[in-house]
Amino acid sequence: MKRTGAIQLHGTPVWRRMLKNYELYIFLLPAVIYFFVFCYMPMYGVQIAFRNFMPNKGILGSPWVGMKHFQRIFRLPSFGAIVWNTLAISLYSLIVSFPVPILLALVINEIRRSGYRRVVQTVSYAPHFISTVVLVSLIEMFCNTDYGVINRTIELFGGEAIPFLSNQSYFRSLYVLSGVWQSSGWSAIVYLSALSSIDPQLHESAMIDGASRLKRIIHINLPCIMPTVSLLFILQVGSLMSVGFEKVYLMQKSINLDVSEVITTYVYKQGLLQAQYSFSSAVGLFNSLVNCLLLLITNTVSRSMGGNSLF
Amino acid sequence: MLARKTKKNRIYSKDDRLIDFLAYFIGAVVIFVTLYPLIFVVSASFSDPVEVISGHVVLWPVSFSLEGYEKILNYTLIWTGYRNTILYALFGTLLNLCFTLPAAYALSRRDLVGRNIIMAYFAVTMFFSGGLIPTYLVMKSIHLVNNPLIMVLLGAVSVWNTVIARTFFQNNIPMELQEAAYIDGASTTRLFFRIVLPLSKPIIAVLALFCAVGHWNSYFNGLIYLSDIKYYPLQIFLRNILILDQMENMMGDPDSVENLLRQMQLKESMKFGIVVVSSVPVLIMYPFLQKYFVKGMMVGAIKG
Amino acid sequence: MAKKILALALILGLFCSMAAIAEENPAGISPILGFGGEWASGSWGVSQLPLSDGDPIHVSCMFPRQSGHPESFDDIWWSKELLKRANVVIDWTLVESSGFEEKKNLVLAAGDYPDIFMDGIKKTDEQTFGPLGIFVNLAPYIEEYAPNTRELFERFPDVKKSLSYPDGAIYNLCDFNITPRDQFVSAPYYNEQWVLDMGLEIPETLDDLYDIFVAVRDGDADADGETDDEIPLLYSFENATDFKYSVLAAYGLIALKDDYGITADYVKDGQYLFVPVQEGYKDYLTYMNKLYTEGILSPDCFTASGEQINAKVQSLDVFMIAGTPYGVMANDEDWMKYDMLPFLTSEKSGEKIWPGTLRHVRSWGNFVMTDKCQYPVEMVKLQDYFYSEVGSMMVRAGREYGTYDDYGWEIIITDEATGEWTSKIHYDTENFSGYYAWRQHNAPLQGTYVAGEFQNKVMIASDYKNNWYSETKMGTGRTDFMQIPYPEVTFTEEEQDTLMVYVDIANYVKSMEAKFITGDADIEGEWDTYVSTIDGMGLEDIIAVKQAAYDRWNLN
Repeated sequence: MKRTGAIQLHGTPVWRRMLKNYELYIFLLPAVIYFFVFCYMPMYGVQIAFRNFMPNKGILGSPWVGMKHFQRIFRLPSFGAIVWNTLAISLYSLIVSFPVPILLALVINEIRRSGYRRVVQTVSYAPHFISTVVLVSLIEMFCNTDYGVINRTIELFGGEAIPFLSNQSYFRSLYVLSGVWQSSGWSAIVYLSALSSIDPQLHESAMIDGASRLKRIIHINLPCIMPTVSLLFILQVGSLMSVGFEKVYLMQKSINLDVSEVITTYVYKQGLLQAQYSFSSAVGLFNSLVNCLLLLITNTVSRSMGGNSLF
Repeated sequence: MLARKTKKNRIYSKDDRLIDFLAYFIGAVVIFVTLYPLIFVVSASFSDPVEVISGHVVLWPVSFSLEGYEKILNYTLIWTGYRNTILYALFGTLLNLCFTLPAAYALSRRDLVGRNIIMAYFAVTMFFSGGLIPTYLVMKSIHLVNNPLIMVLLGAVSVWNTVIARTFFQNNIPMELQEAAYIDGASTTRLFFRIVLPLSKPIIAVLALFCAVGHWNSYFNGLIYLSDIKYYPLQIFLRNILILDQMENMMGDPDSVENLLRQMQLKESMKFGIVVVSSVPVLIMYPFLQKYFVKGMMVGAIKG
Repeated sequence: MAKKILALALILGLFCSMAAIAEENPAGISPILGFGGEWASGSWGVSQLPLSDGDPIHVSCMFPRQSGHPESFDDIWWSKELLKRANVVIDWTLVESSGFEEKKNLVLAAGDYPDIFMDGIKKTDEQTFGPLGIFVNLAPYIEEYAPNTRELFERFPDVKKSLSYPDGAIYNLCDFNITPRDQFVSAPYYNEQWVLDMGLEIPETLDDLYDIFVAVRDGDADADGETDDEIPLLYSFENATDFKYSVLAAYGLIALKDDYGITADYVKDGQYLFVPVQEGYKDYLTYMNKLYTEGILSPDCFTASGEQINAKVQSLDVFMIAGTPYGVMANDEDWMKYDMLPFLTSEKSGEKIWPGTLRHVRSWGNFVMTDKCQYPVEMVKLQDYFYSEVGSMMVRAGREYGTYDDYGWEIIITDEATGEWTSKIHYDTENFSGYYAWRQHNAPLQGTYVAGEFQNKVMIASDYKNNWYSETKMGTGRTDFMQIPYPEVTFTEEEQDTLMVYVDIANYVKSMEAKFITGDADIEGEWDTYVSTIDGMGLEDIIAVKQAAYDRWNLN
């Protein structure tokens, strides 16, 4: 399979191939340097989780304390609660907001008139472009007991205004549902694109065989997007223990701290607001490790079940 | 597409029409649920703040008033933030494209030796990080703290974007085309700039949009790494106004009665206008770009 | 017995030192009479300015910028004045106050910190960074270079005690406030007019108050024909603690809201009590829960934003508010109908106690010097200058009328013979809503200073509403029986370690408080679980630590 001067896969010694493609390595250089500086160099600093970091002694000068901080994590009375909060929000998200884009994509795909379909699609992912800050303030505006539209509608139908913002049992729902509003349309794009690549012949032959439309959706469309679904599912399960920091932090108030304190916000507050640098690093590291583990587990499980895997 | 084809030989059945109806209906619901909050905010921004607080604004502005916008125009910091964010988004996106595209292309080439290792090198960073303090220390040692450059540099490469771009290159730039270029004596660089890039407009649009929106909406990096107000991005000022309650300040100083009251009133009437002012550019921009990036997303994301 | 002798000795000692000072009277220092009560008698305090003979001294400072401050301090009046008087230039790094905490911790961790801080340093920061040497120990410098500070420490030994660590180190300085009005916390304000209009009496007990609340809720207090438009009780639960203080005091407990957001520390007869597990606290929760379930305590207290609450308060729909009565004061017509709630008792306790703030201190963390500062002596002298009367006026009152342009404060002698005087404020009324706003536009308004009668007279004279606030607050007679619940103590390193779990306890207490009050948790049923949970978190150790710290403080 030798080709002169062209793209070669086998047959030539490694170093020669590398030499020939030296420009590709130059292409890679900026990104490689970037990751080295911004990601790998800070990893060196992870060791403060095993030390008692003292700012004026620097990282290396700070005394080594081994697992002391990690032990403290487990002895923390609120640790269980924090972990549970993180898991609860993630699971809730998974169960509610994972299927929605799939369903949305399936539905949008069934809209016949292309103009209308495009409008729906375009509108549906508009909220994706709103910043987290704005989103949280929208939540507060709409769930407000005084002038929030939701409550006023409830009142219109004769009900009583519900204190969404002050009652912490609504916190998780607000978090997850606002996430659904914001990102379903955007996530649906992926599925829609998969759906659009379905061979129309499949549908034609199915119709000729007498299959109803619903049957067709279930038996053709769904299986087709399954690979994408399972891939994204793996990724989401793998990040079960990492609830994004920004949105939760913005939505936190002292009345909902019970349910709103998640690992990332705890790490932030301990590290940056309480100056517990080493301790918060330890918690952060612990979190990363757990995430990694989860990802590996789900990946292996999925692969052994014959499905797709990430790697 | 599918609809047109089947129009000719249709078998109208009951469930067909039901599904049609459902699809249209759900589509309408989606439009309403998505658009209503946005329309409300726009209306509220043009209404008298008192009316808003008493809940009289439902869909259209009540007691049309430009008071909120007037105050926004006078609040110079908003414009500082705006200017900064635009600059960061612009340069950040450019930088991102310059870093990501070449790297993604290199990774798309199956004849790249060490491809998997390099991919792993990239991918590991998605799961592990040094943590905030160590990253801050590194940033400080390279003099990036309180330096507007950091807002442009951070996020210059994202693994996600690289993967999407790589997939795009793999699926859309035919191997034959590239080989032909080599046979014609082109160097890899020339191949990349003259042939691959022009064919990659959709993915460039995708990356540019992802990146620009990311910069537009970010506030955390600015909060941590920037000290000087004159460098702050827009979202930080938004956060101060929209989310944070000024009450804390009030409790200390009885001297400041009038002052703080005024500030509170100011905040209330500015809130909606600020949401509009900060989100509108993005919301207006994206429908125009969408024809480019939907295509790009489609292709890039399937094997994602 | 030993304590009594000690106290006597202390008083004697004070007398002697005061007498000594009175005799000595080095140039410029005269005894504080309400801190320069008579302007004509000259100003108090020594000035050691300018601090440099040749080129101006440059120091860097990181400062939390409030929304009223200008974008840059480089060209404001204050900076120019500083250069003129002291030959010092401060290189400011202004950080938004909302992100100051994070920023400060980051720069301290990274070794990137400025020479001085003039605001925003907390006790916990001192404990972390002082022993490391990052914050400089000011005590030796004060001994040698700061006469005003020394004098103030002599006059107010409590303050010195609270600033000093067990080894005698002092890492930060506070600002003094010797106006009587600010020596104790406020109580809620209520619409006295409505009470009288409805034919009821000013309340004396919690039960009286409850009856009044019911009357307001059900009746037509503002006589406008509607019975539903009066809100009995509304305030920001998260921020305003006045009402809580009133109820707790009625049940025999006092405590101040601490850095962790809970009211917990009370030393009663020498013994430390953790308030959130006391019987009186349970009574407080019960009372609040009753108010909540009966529609008196508005649910908005927990959810509404500051502005929303304020809007309602301003429109005078609210019967009782908590927190300084800003909203009421903003209403130009009817604010005088409000008055401060008198002291209430309950069936459980008739004792008259009320939380006093640590006397004489307005806020802590107003001057910290780091080991990067190259001019420690000069900076200490500068802060010392700010303690003098002239310096305090510069920090707090702004510029004198006629010094730069047509704005500033002005003293007008009304009676040449007696020296009686009044003051007048001139400021840009078009662009600023009040004198404070205008001041904030050209000075940081933070730092070490002494707020005395004189300065307050100047400030308050500009604001008749502020005057009203002073009068109503003093009018309730609480100065007679106020006590400091728990002094500002300092902890040893070991004790600080033990205190690390305090954060968790505080969070738990906070969240349970809201739940008990709103009925989410049943007081009767869950009180015991609540107490045992806190015990399980290590309460005993905390109590021991706080008691030890108090004992140590007391002994000094």
